Amino acid sequence: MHIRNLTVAAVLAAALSAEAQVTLTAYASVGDSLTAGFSSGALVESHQRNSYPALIARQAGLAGFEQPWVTEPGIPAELALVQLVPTTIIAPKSPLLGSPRNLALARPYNNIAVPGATVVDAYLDTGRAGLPPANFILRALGTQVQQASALRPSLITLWIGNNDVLGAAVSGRAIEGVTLTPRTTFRQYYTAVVEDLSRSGARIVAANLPDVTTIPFVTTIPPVVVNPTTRQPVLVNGQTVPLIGPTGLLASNTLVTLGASSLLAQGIGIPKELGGTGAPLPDQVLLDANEVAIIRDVTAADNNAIRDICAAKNIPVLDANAILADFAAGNRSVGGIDLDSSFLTGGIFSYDGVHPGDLGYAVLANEWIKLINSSLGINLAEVDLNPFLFRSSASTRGPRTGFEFTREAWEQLLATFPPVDGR
Amino acid sequence: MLRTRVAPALLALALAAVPTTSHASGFAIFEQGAKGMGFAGAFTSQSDPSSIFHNAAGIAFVKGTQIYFGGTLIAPSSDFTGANPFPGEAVTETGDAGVIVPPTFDFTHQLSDRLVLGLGVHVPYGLRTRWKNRETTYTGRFISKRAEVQAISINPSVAWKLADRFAIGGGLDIRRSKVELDRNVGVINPFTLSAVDVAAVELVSDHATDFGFNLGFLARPSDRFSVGASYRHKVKQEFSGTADFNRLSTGNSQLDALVALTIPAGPVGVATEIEFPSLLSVGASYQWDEWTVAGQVDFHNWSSFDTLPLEFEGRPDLSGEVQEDYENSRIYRIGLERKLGERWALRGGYYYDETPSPVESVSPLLPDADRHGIALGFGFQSGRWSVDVANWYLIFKDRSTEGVNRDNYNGLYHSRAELFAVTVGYGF
Repeated sequence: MHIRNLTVAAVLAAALSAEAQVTLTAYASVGDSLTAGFSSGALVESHQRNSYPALIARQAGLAGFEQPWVTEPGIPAELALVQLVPTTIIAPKSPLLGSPRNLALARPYNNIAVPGATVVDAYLDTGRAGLPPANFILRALGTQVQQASALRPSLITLWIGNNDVLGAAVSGRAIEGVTLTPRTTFRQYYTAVVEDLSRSGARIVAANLPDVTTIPFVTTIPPVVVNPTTRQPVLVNGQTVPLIGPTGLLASNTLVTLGASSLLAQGIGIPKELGGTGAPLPDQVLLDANEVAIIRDVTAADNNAIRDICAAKNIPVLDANAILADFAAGNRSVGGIDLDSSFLTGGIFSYDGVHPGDLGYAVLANEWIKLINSSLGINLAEVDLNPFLFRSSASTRGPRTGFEFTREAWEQLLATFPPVDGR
Repeated sequence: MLRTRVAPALLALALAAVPTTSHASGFAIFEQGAKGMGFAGAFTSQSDPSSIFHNAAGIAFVKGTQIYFGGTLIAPSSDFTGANPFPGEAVTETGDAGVIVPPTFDFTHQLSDRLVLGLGVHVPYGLRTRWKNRETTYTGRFISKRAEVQAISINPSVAWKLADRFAIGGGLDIRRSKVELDRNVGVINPFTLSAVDVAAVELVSDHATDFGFNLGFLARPSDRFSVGASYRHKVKQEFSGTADFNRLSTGNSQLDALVALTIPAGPVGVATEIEFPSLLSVGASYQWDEWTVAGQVDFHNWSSFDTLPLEFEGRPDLSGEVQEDYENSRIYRIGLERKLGERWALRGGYYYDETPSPVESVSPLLPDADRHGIALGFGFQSGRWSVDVANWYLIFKDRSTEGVNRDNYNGLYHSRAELFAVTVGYGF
């Protein structure tokens, strides 16, 4: 009965969209860290395996979907939760780095996404500058766009532009042309990327940009003094106590990044009366309301560009912005388990507070699969979330003293977001 | 909300046999006497002591003093096959409702040619969904491990013949109900970024007692033909009770310490409410020689069951509601009887019962589906005694959640049920 219904549905779907139907033979993905499967501050094979392009390829039964595999502990080294209570400590697993293990592949990788890549990079960067990770992913064989096209794929997914806004959130500085790609530049290069990819003859499915001011990296630490034991705001005369920033007490709508946690642990940003040093937190760990507005404004402009450019080419666009907003609003649950954008307990984000974890990528893959199915008239099964939601590798690592999001973790993450192209 | 202590002895009788399940769609129960069941429930236009449930006007035609009592043995079974993305195609689950026996009891007494009094005790609504391995591996345990609703109706009734061939009747529906819900609480384990059980919650409500009413008429325009209609009003019940939070160790002391900050341990006051729907039945029957045929349509106003709110005292963070959004539904019934001499009667029938549950609400709590009911039964009469026996075989349509379940718990539910009822009557 069940099977018969499915078959009928599949036949109907196929009949209705016979024109649009595409046989998935080869698939290439263009993008940045989110497409590369970057997770917990690292590009590492244990998470690359669950990148959304890898999951889509797996559901489509595509053999030989190649990625630029990186061995443990990753490049950079993967962050781990060292301790949860009393102080939460997140630090790199290892002082060492992993290494690429698929460098000899005689063709471009199917997942050609480069962590840190902006839309300009996707169009121009060939990895010739020799800087990781572009050097070992692009291998001077051409740009992302060129290499994806060279695979002659039947499907290309395109999710580029996150780094054109994300660096501003992570670095606590929102200046269009410095940490944000100018919107005109974005539109110009996004157009060029789509033009070139379209010429490959592949069906393209794109995604827009989420609101990066809702990611746990900037929403976890409140702008007030918190009692580390109870995890509740400290009240003096019934009032919360604002942290100290470069221009005085933080406004209640200031976002404090995870980068502040190691400083807060030293008393920086906390008034002397409450045991702090009284010294201000630096601007680079803070996003004030004005900076948030700039990031949102540029994101909206970029998303309008993506919508317009893709509409002109008949390219369906995954509304990643709406999906992340849904998680930020706490509107999602799976089988009675709530999933949201909370750090550590929300189930979607990894230990870097910026990138999804395996479960988050699997959920994202299903959103892609639904759009691919409806727009290509095919019927890929969604990814089974059960093994992601219930895996038993609970381990208690030995307690130690230290900082919350360690300085190493923060600097490592900052290095993942190089300055954007200001032209 | 009205709360009273009523008829303790009757209640004891009713409670003795309770655990119930739902065997009309939603969580209605129509198994109120084996004679009516022999007609597949098409009994609004007929008459015996069980008319207290089916159509109070019917007892106007019951002579003398009658006691009619029995029970229905219900053996339901259900299973579930998962779908991606959750719980996944590899998952199958099995129901564990056990065998359950809702009781039925009716008493009628003819005061005069025209006036008959009655008292019935029935279980008009009831539900039990339980799943195997619910304390361990059952994948729906964060939604519902066990759900039980027990609604007992104590139904003092009166019927009056306005004319030889026309009667009206009505009753006071004293409804005493209780709700039990068990589920687990799961959170994301920060060490694994995957889910882990942190508490088992057992919610048990107190009994709530509220009042409704029922009305009906039964006309026999000729010796052969009768027509009747019956209405049972909705009853809204507010329940207070206790939710017992039993913390489950995650095996990680740091996570346990964090959980202790947010999940209560021990009992927490809880309140919920259910509006049991109204039911309108319209039926007719025709008799010739040793044959009787009866047809009926039931209109079940299930749209009153829109949410199942759960308010935890002092814990708005845990409070919420289960969205149900049931729709009004209909049941179509047809039954046939052939008398074999003075003593015996054979019966059979069929009904089709539409589910009131929208596909989004099909869940481990209430995996409802359209169903076909096939009835077979017989009656035997000897002097003051009568015995009716009926068997129902219920074939549920397979119900897929079509990927849109509200809890994102998707798959296909497949259910069956066998019901066996015996009712004994004695006339004074």
